[in-house]
Amino acid sequence: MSETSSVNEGRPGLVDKLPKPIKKLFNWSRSYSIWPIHFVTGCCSPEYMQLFGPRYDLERWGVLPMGSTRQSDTLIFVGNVSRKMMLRALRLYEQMPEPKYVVVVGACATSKGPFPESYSLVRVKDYMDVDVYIAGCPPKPEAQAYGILKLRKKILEGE
Amino acid sequence: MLNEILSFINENFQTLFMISVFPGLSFVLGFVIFAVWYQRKYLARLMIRMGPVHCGRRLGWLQLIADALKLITKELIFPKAANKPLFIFASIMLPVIPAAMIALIPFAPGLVIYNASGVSLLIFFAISTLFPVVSVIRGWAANNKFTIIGAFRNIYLDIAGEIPVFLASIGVMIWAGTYDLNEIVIQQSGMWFVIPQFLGFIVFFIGFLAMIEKVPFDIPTAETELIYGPNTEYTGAMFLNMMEADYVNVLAWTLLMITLYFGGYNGPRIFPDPIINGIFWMITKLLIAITIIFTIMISYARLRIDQAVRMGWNYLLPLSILNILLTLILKYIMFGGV
Repeated sequence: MSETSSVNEGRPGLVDKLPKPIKKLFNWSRSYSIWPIHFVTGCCSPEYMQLFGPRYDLERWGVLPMGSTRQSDTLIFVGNVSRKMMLRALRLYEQMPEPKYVVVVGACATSKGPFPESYSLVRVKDYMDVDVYIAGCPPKPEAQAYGILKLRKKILEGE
Repeated sequence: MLNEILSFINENFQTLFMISVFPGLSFVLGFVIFAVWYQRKYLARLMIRMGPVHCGRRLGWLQLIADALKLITKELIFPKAANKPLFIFASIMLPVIPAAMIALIPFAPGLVIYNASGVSLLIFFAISTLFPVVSVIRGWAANNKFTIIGAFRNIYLDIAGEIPVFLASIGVMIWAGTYDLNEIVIQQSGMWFVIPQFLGFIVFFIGFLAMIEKVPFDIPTAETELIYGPNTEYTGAMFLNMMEADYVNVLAWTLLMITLYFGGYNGPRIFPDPIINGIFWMITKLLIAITIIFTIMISYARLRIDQAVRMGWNYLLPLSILNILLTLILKYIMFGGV
């Protein structure tokens, strides 16, 4: 289940060779349809869940939480990641189709936060390329929404 | 050469127009785009949220275009264990089957793509039985435990729902005395069949909710139990086809319900042209029906698979047979013969 054969493995996709206006159109469509999957391991998640409720409603920008990794764009780390959980996170990351983005929420996943000398915690940036870090312990829903909108802006400008 | 082509187009213009534009391809795709946007917006308003707003100037009307463009440009992943030809075949075939069912529905006097010489209702049900078969193929081809469980749930639900739906529509066939959908619509110009066939309509409606697999019966794609049911392994453009198949299925069954029980294209004269009048009433009834379906979606929780199957076999099936008997008795009393 974890082993996949992808179509454009390791070579530049057809999309990269297209003329600029079409690339811009694709970036526009990607920026308005971020479908995240959240990797909940800690206590940033109650704050994260607010984003899809009535108050912060990120669906205004087309952010729609999906069930399956195969249809998701963004892996969101919500909470501390231990050495063993990182293996599962890497598997989720490999299941997502390109183009994919990573958002790290909170101090633990960014830099081990309040547990700097822990034997089991790891930093996400040692394992995969991270697009947006959201600071805080835990970050408020406003801050998390701001982070996801930052990611949106990054995608719109073509990284 | 050019003249021949032009004269060919001229002769067959109405058929080409019907296949490519109105009850055919463009209408179906336009309905899918509208229905997904409308569902997201309407459900969001019922949850006191906004729904898509910023994409497109107002109301988020470009949201679905953005989603579709993004899905088309995404990477296609084929799992190593999957049966690749069947995997692709199912994703292409699935939206085609409900779209073929729409070809039998009359939208206005004379506006029907395929006039099946008097047996169109039977052909509708014959085509609809292919849908669970292709649905099982998609679950089996992906070779993943979640897709296979979802596919088998799909077949349980479809058998439990489709037999009561078919038996309920036999009540309509007996009452109208014909298998032809066009003839059934013409007979409803005085009274809609929902009044003499009320018990049949209730059975049909519950079975219909099971057939379209929306929330009280979204057991195959249960997002909290199975990841995404039979669609779990599909990515990018193939997933787009799956979503499209869902909504084309909703469209086909809703149009059948309107045709059988709510008078089809009949309605008070608003436009002088009978064809435009028929299309107007058909679309108005369609919008009201999908609004009711979406309201049911947000109001109820999901049934378990055993509850849904028990409901289909223990309650809907006897009720639909009772409905046939009542129809026979009522028709014998009122018209003195069947």
